[in-house]
Amino acid sequence: MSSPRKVPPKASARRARSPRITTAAAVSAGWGLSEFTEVAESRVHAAALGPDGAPEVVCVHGLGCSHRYFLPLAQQLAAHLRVVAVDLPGFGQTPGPPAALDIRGLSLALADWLRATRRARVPLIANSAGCQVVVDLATHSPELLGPIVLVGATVDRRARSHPQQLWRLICDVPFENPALVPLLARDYLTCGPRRFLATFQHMLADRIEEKLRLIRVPAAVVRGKRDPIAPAAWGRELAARLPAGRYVEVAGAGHAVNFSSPVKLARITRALLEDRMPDEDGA
Amino acid sequence: MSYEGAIGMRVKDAVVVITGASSGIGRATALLFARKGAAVVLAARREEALQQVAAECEKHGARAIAVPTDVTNAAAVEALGRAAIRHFGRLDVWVNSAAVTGVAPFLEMPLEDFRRILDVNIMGYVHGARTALTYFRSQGTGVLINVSSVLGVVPQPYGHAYTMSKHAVRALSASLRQELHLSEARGIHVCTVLPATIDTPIYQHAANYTGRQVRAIPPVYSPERVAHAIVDLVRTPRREVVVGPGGRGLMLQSHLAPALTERLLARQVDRTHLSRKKPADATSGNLYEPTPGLGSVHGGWHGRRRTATRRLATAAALITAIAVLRRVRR
Ligand SMILES: NC(=O)c1ccc[n+]([C@@H]2O[C@H](COP(=O)([O-])OP(=O)(O)OC[C@H]3O[C@@H](n4cnc5c(N)ncnc54)[C@H](OP(=O)(O)O)[C@@H]3O)[C@@H](O)[C@H]2O)c1
Repeated sequence: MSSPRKVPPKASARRARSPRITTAAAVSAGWGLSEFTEVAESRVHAAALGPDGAPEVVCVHGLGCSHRYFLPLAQQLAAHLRVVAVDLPGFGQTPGPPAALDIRGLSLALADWLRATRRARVPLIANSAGCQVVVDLATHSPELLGPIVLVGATVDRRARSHPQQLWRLICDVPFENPALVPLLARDYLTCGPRRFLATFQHMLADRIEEKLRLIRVPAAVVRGKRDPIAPAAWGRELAARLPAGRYVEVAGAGHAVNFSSPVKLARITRALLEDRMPDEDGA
Repeated sequence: MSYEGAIGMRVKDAVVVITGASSGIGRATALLFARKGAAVVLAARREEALQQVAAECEKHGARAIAVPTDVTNAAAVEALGRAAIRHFGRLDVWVNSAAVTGVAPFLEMPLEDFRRILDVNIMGYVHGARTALTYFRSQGTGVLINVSSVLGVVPQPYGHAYTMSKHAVRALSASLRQELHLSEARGIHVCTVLPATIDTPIYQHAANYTGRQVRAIPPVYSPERVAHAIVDLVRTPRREVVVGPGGRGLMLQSHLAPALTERLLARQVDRTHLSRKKPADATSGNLYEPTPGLGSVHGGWHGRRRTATRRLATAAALITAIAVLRRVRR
């Protein structure tokens, strides 16, 4: 397991090379195309869907996941928006360093990628640990933040231990679309058990709630009403700590609202982007 | 709240922000952290001076960046914190050492200068503490070190704003410790350093409306000594640390006989702090603009030599005493 003290290379060193961006046929079914950016000491993959030139949104996945479980949401949004789902280093199609990056390492990589692909201020939709990564951007690169949708944000400060989190993960399964299980199983295998566990350890050490006051942009905290991983009290606390935060619950949904209730999440996202008060019915 | 036995952190590979790193104590502290293998983030107003310090730190094999900052600007101090995170990924230690001073009879100190001293020395530290604690709280660990002064315990005449600010810094640290105690943030520490007279350029930097030159009040200690105390606090955090036995004596004296100490120190400042022979033009010193030049650790008050001489004398006295005792026992 990597030491939490591991210091990433200097930003100047990372930025020195001018980033090369190439596009190719989509690596996974359903997406429009794949984009590869040589940045953050890796070749960062992102899958895109939606019309060329349309306003973009960026999706950031959770622990062990990848761009793939954002497809149902992307399909809902793709009529008017271009959805770009990035694979963080070590996950999906993006190679990572041998030792798993901590939340800070992942957020620095995400910042580099956002800069390289000129996506500063593009709205961000994050799920689970992806919320921790997105919120951490505020500690070093607040200028990159646009509106934020935090879906099932982790880690509930009242349950920051392995057994509690594992139990909650198991309890979530009945509330998800069954198709999520084989999809995630494949993603988990791609990242591998060592990286999975090390990243999990880093997640537990990260106190997302202490950083929320740094986020000055509009943000929605979205939670599936049945989500055992991010309980209601936790979701409300997060929204209350955000200077411009709103709290929205999605009936019948579990943790991965983006996969299991994409229609509702798409509605909420559009409402936030149009600066309307999002609620469950997206009125 | 007792800090006895508090466990701090390793200095090697720690990421340390130091304000006032272009001169004196801050500069000596930056160099020592660099020698101990920490990554240092150097802040003060003079960019070129900071670049020079950064180059010296790099010679010790350390990673260093210079971030020109005016600590009275809250947004600039926040950006300083972000620079640390962007370059080194985290923030472990924050040392507030940037300060200015000025001497004048109370009614002759321009109100603007009075306010500026409070602003740099108090709000500058507040800005630093806010930024540091934001990161410390999100990590659950960190050490904030505020450099106050023995003048934060025993006041000095003519330096009202300065001595007020140094009292305020002690209060800020204590109040923060209490708050951390209540929120059970066990991994976060706030420490205050109370140096006695230190051989730094601060006396040349001072605003002065007394018509008399400012000098260091002996005994004078070396800035390296303060730097060592600061590095030790990272490993073993303590509430307050006095640097220089002269300072410790003064504090004890003020505890036992406060009225007498007040008067004695007043006399001493009048006799030795302000020269009776050398006149000085009225100046606002480095309050608004930094002193030109690349800065230095020492102020030419012979702290190092005096410290060495004093230590030698103490050692000689001890050895003699032991020798005498042995003779007597035989
Ligand atoms: N020397 C002593 O006898 C003594 C005794 C007890 C306590 N102390 C304390 O020790 C600390 C360091 O003092 P020192 O003796 O090292 O003084 P110094 O040599 O005058 O250094 C002061 C530092 O503060 C910086 N500074 C001043 N105004 C600033 C501002 N607005 N923004 C950012 N940086 C600013 C200066 O750099 P720039 O000009 O480049 O900005 C310089 O690096 C102070 O807190 C002082 O109160 C000193």
